[in-house]
Amino acid sequence: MRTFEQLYTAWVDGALSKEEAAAFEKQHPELLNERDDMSKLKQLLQLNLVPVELAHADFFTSKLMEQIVPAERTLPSWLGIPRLAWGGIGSLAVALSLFFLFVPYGNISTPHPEYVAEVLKTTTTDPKISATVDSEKGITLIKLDGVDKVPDDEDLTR
Amino acid sequence: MNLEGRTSVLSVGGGGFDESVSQDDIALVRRCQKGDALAFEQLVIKYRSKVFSMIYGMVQNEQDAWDLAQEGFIKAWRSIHRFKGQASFYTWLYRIVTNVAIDSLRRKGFKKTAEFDDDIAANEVAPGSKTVPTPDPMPHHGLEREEIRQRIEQAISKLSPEHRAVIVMKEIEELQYNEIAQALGCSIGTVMSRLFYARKKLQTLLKDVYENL
Repeated sequence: MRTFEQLYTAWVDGALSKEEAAAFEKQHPELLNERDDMSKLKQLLQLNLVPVELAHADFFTSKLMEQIVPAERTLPSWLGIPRLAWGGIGSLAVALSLFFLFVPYGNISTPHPEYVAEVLKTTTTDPKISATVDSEKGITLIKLDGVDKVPDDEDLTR
Repeated sequence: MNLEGRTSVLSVGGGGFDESVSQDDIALVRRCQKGDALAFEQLVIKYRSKVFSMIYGMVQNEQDAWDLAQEGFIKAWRSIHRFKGQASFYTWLYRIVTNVAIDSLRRKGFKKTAEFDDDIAANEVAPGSKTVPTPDPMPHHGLEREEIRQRIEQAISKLSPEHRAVIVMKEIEELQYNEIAQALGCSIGTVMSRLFYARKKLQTLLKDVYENL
């Protein structure tokens, strides 16, 4: 359903069919003079509002392109934000790979003190001396039997 | 009433959107979307005059029209990746530059008046309403062309940005209703309503001019 305004505009512009125009004019006989009036107005506008030429058109284009191209040059197309983001992610991945490749894996935490005693040999050249090893509660006790008593005058502090 | 079917009749001799050239435009747009500024330059060369003329018709000032045309093209370049080809490039460009011009007019403080405002006055104009001559008519004969032009520009400056847009597109650019609707992002019915109120206002403001020619 078209409004009066829409029908009127179409009627003025000659966009109604003959039947539609006739029906509109029959319904609004008071408007018959209006179309002539509107035609004069349209003619006035069309005669006096001719398209205006763009002066110095090439200068217009060059000024415009100056605003577009420098922005592109400062940031090449291959350095757009998505590419920068992917580049950053790639660099991080390479750095992590190198880290795990070259840094010993598994002993990164702070080392705690751990003392290991190893008895390499329990034999002696003197057959009268025997050695026994007793390892209990984290303490290793080496006991030597048959060793001569240390003389009292021996300076043990040396 | 089938207005869509009749638009081809209305377009004879008009300066409407030419779909036959849109394929060339599409190829240039595809290159622009890959960052080819030279392709965009070709589009600028092709449409700069039409864009400038349309904006000038709305703002009635050469320097403003120049600046707004530049702004419109820059906006088009920045958003060209969003162009999907659903309408012709020219329609799409027209929509951008029209919005730039309308926004500029609004920024400059156009005061919307209730008179002939299609948002407010819908269905309130009696079918047989007569336009009223200007309060201070100038019924002189033989108006000079420059004076006529100034009167027309003054009259157009009293229209709302939206009404200016439809007048310029219809009377100067000779676009069809559907093309204007596409460019303004509104319905054909809205375009026709805006044309009605814009013409009524111009009729009031310019009656003494066209009756004394």
